[in-house]
Amino acid sequence: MTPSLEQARRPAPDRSFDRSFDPLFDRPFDLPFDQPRTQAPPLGPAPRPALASSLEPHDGGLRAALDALDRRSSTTGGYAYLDEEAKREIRRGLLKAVAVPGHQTPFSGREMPMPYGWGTGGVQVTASLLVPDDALKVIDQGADDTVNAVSIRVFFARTARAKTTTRTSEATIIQTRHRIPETPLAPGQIMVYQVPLPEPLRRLEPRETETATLHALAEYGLMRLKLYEDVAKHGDIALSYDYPVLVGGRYLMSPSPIPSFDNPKLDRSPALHLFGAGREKRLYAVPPHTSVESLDFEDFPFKPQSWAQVCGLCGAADSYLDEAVLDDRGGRLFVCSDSDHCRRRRRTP
Amino acid sequence: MKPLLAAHGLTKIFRSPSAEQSAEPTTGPLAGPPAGPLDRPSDWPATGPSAEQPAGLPAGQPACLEVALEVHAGEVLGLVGESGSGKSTLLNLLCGAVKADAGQSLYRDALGLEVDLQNVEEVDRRRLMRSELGFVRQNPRDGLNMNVSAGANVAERLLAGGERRYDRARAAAAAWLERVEIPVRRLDDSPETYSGGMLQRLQIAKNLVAGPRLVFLDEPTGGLDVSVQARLLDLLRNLVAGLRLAVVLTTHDLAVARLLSHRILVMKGGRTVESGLTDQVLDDPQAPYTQLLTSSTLSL
Repeated sequence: MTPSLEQARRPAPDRSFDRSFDPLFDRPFDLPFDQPRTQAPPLGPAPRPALASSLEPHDGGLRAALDALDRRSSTTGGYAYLDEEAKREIRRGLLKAVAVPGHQTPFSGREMPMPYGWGTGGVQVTASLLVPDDALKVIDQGADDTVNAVSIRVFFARTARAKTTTRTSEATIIQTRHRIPETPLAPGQIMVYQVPLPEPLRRLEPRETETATLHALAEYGLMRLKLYEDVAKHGDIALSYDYPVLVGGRYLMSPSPIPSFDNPKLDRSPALHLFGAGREKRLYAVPPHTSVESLDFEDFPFKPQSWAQVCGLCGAADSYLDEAVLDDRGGRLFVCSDSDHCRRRRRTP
Repeated sequence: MKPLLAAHGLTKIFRSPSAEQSAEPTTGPLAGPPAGPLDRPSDWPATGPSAEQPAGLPAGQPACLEVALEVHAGEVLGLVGESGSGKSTLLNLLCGAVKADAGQSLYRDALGLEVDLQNVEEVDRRRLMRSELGFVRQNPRDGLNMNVSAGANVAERLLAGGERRYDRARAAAAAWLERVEIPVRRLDDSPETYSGGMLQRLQIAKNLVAGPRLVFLDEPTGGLDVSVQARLLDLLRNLVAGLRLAVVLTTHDLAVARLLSHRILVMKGGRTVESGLTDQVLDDPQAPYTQLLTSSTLSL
């Protein structure tokens, strides 16, 4: 155990959760968000029992996803940065994405106060969903305390007076850049992914018209060909992140650049997974309890990453590990990438 | 016995830009689109059909006019004619890659069901094209994926057709490479490193690996020098006879047609001029154009 890294891991006193304090400018919030949330808008109408009832017998996951979106259509007046019309349009796109799991549906991405590549897609999806009763968690490569995660969390703390949290189990919406938390997700939770390249076939086929046709005809021989080439050249499937998956046995989907370690967590997950690509202006979704199969060969089966080491801080043997360089003399430490998971394991040994 | 492929009245008109231009309203740039629906070109006012063109078709250059043909299992049909006679267009019409203005291309599939390749769902047509049918292009670069290895090119149809074992796909690719006389050690090489003759043989392996019943060959020996051409023709003849393939072949080279095909269809200006048994047509041509064609052949 190296105390220097342990110190580095421990976040500075985090006041971003203190909603009377604006961490961006290191001073109390100014108007109008410094008001305590006494008059928070109520949650929307109770889920309508008639909604999607025809789908219920064989697809409870779709029903749950549609209900979750339906419940989140109640805010008014520029809540959470985007105007209501924009948020409604995104939710309409999400409805379609949920109804056709794994299928990319276009939306008219808005300008956000951040550059493309910093999660504009994810932020728009989160903004379209947030209601005041939500608890928002934002992670970047698993960690709650990195720049991207902190700024997005602060952004919503200011524009939506959203309750923020770092605890996976408490969060109702988790916006993520390239990880799925180690703590198992629960029904009712929503994962929002930031997606740089939504089209899994793009590197193999540059034409959008052609990839659209391949999706329409469910012709995914091209991706199988890529796997064949990997085995022929490298002796195994040489993909460790953005590992292509088949959703619901139908659509080929990029799970965003999450490590293949996280792919199994998507399969029949009880949570709703929503993907937003801001630059490419695409939305797609994996509703709860949907099968997500990582492509492979029978004789070269899908293998998520694994490590010989355990986490140097909490001793976890079953989490995704980051390698940290400690000094110039080859000192290295493997630590959990999920900072919440690691911290809680250390607190309750 | 019913034919494997039967085409009736296949017609394709390529609309010329001048005909399209004169069909546009000329009242000014803001005149708007023509009154009729845009996707029905026959509604557009035309400059008037040419004398030999059937009524009810758009104006333009006819590439194929009411061509009919039949191909039986195990039979090789040669389409011969000069450049621009409509051979390649006819091949594309037969397999449904180009949509005809009129006519059918009826293919009897492995289950004995008749499928009109001109009027079938695209998903079914593509499935047929990579399982029961094959299409070898004149330029192998058009028919191959130059970004992946030779082995992957051959394995592609097996993988797309549901093969989920790497070793089986690879073994099949290696076996087919050997069959088309490409050294198996070149299996993982990029096709970019192959010579022209090897590329064409690779394309043939790619098309035959899934066990097709009917293969379209578009000038398979075009652009190859004569010794390479001879080897390729030898290979093709053995494969076709050994696999009892039905083949529709286009060529402008009458010697190639005589070597490979059982029957011949002579085309000119998009129409069939003459058809019959290969020897009959080439030794005793009846139509003036066929006579011209046979007498134009150079000999040593």
